[in-house]
Amino acid sequence: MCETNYSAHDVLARDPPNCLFTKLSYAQLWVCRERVPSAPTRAVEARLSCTMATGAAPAVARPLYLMDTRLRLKTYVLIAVMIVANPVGTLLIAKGMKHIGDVKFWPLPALLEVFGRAFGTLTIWAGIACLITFIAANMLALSMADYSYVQPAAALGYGVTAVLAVFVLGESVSPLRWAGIAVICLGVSFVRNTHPRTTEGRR
Amino acid sequence: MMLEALLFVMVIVVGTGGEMCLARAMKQTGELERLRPSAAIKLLGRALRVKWIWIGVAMMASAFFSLLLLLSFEALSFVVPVSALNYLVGGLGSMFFLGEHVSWQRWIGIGLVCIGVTMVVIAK
Repeated sequence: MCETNYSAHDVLARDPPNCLFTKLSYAQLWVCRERVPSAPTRAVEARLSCTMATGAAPAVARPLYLMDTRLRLKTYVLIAVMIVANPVGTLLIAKGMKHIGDVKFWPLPALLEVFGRAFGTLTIWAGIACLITFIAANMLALSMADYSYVQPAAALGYGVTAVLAVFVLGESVSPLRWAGIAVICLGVSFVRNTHPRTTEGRR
Repeated sequence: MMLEALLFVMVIVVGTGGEMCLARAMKQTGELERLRPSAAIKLLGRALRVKWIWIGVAMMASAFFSLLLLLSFEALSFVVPVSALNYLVGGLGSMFFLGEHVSWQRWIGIGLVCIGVTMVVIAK
């Protein structure tokens, strides 16, 4: 059963079977809503929920549902940045490279000249900025959420790429590609139903 | 044939492994407490001092060069769908290397994402 003096992450990491508290943290207070319908959601704290699970009132600093909501919100924002910044960055670099003309990799002076032309283009710099934003958002998302949560969710970027292809580049997108995007979205919705973090804060 | 298999392993296992090293480094660095640019930059700066970051970057770089080498003699339409196995390797690695709890719901999600990514790439 639940122990006293723990954080949400501790409980999630241990994941004891049949622990109401764990179920509660995953499903955001469904137990409380079911069992104490009169309790207003904002007033229901982890103290109450664990009292229900263990029969003892532990010392809990912050309401669990608030920690859950904040974690989810931060993770969603960072994943949203990732799935937009990556395709936009790639698109800008592709556009920039098309504008710089012939690309020769050999001899060396020709290659340097290509680099010179590429880095003299604002579009390429904007693309690089987007890709750096993507990497930073990815790292920040991984600082709080599981890799097995962030990695599949980032696949939504394929959907953004398709939307950009249609609305920005005026390309047509085949039905099979849309179907693939729909399958990705379905997959991400399954992942979204799980808790973003199942490990402890620091190792 | 042997070289091809080795390169695929490099792209899939080493590439995903590199990302997982990054994840490990970030978990060691600590959580981003607030969504503010200053806090984010501080955290990223701290992360650069963790050795796992550099192991991850080296692994991702070798995976990238293996991909380029693989593409020099294999068709893109074959290489990229096989690379969608990254998601499955990522799921397994998360369980055994990062100690995450990958529930059946997550596995279904990962499987669907794998299929979806393959469809998107084949359709191109």
